[in-house]
Amino acid sequence: MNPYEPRPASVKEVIVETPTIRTFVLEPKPPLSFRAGQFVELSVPGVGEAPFTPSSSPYEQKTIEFTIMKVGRVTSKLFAVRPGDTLAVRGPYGVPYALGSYEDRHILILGGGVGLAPLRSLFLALLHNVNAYKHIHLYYGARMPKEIVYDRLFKQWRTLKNVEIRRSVDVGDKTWKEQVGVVTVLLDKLPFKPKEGLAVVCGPPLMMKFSTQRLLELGFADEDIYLSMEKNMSCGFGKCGHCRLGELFCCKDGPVITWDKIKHLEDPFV
Amino acid sequence: MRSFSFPHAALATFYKNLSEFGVTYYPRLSGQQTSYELWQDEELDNDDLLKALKMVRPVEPLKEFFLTSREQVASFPQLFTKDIKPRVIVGAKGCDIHTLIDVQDNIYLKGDNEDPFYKERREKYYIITVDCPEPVDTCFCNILDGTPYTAWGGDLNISFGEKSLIIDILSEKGEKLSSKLSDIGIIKEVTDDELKYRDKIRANAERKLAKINRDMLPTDLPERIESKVDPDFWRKALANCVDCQACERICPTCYCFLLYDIPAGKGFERTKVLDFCYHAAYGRVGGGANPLANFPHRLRNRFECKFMAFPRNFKVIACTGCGRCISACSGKIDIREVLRAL
Repeated sequence: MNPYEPRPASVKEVIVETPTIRTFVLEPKPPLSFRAGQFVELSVPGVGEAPFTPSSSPYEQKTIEFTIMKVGRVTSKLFAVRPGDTLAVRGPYGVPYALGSYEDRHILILGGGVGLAPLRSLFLALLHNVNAYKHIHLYYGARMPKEIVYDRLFKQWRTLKNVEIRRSVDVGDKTWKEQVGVVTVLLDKLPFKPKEGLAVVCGPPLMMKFSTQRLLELGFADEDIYLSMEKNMSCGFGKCGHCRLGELFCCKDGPVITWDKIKHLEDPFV
Repeated sequence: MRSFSFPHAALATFYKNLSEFGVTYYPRLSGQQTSYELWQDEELDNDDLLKALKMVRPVEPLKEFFLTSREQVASFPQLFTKDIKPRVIVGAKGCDIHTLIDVQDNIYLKGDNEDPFYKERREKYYIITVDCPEPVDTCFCNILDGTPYTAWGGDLNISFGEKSLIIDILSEKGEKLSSKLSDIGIIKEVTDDELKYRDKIRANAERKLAKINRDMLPTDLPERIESKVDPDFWRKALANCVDCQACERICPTCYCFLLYDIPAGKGFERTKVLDFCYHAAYGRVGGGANPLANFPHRLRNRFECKFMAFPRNFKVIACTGCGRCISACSGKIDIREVLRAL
């Protein structure tokens, strides 16, 4: 098997989430199955490849979704694709969440900006077996209301049993009725004892850094803080060297890494 | 382990016979050093061949045969295949064969995904190691648990008798090579005198290395590097560095690469290019963030990779003391001094 060889994935739908974020619904052939926490290398043919964590449920067999922000060369070209176009994917890579060990615990999902995209895949995987967990707390912060991803889905998510949802924006507007402030304001008045739960965090590096500090202050154990440490993962499987973080490779030892494994590093969020 | 020997004068004949197993490379004099040269069955001075064989590692690291600086690894949408033919590589020293086995094999052959092209080359290529009787000032294998000779890792090993070359058969592939060589009528059983002479030569080389490198390296390099987070230390320790990247490009343990795609027809060709962490864009991600944007961080990164991360992951330091980085450095930086300053 050639691990550098991708498989074709036709674009079935492109959903505009915000002015700079879109969800791409792809149909890889053969289907690409993954487990929550793993990532995929996605290519725009002839342009280049970049790593993305799927945002769809791992239980969805036929299609796979990626919610992507336009930030660089590959993602800019990605925004030009239309339904019917063909992309290329390879993977999955990385270590999935050990969902079995989360049972009977509170699960705090803390997302910032487009960082909610990979967390959605975890969220949907947890919903698949929702009664196994004490409670799922989905906390999400964006810079402003119009930058909220999955605004189309939150209404339905709020109706789910065993799920608590909180949202904040850094800067509100006249229509915004929820919290205002950086995402860590959502961690005030937690409805559970940190020792009875775990936190999974994904967002911009600074958001991850300050969220980790706040979670530690609140009493979360180092090994219960899960951080999505996606770096420059070129190959995806621990060979190319670019995503090394201390002695770990984000691609094969992560991309989700618990705080206890990286807290000794000078600044893992740089 | 079986062994045989043949006279010094038969070295060219030996190369000629090896070349029947595949395209053959041998160490050839190039000024004051040697480099791997393609065997073309030409008339060559046997004394020059012998002299080159005795000298320290060739300029190019052994890995260059297995990890080319640029190679196609995939195509899309059509499947990509590659026809890798056997090669015979003569002249790897102990420092080089150990980088291949301890470092590159650990990276490219372990884990869930092997590199299929590296693997096929490792399976098909014959490696003939050679004793290293004439260490030079840049050599420091002895302070990294190495010796100027090797008894494992290659398929055959060449060592030096007074008037003969002693061949030790080290693998099944080595057996295959030697079965053919036994037909050429120049080989004989190794005598005790030949082995005594070899032992003397090896001991001399070890003594010379012990003089070159009197002080051992610190034994707690991973911890020392981990604690050296002050950029000023790296700025000072590598003050003469002009960021030419020669040390990384010549290093037999550097293994990093990046993938890039070139449009081809309705799809693309994927190329794997060796990459080096002193390069400013090495750590840059899609959005432009770069954890290694500052040069002192990149300097530290190189040492962290070889002397902290690698030993913690694979129980071996990713340096075997070949000294190429010292020879190549335009700023005359000696890695031994940097390590001792930690």
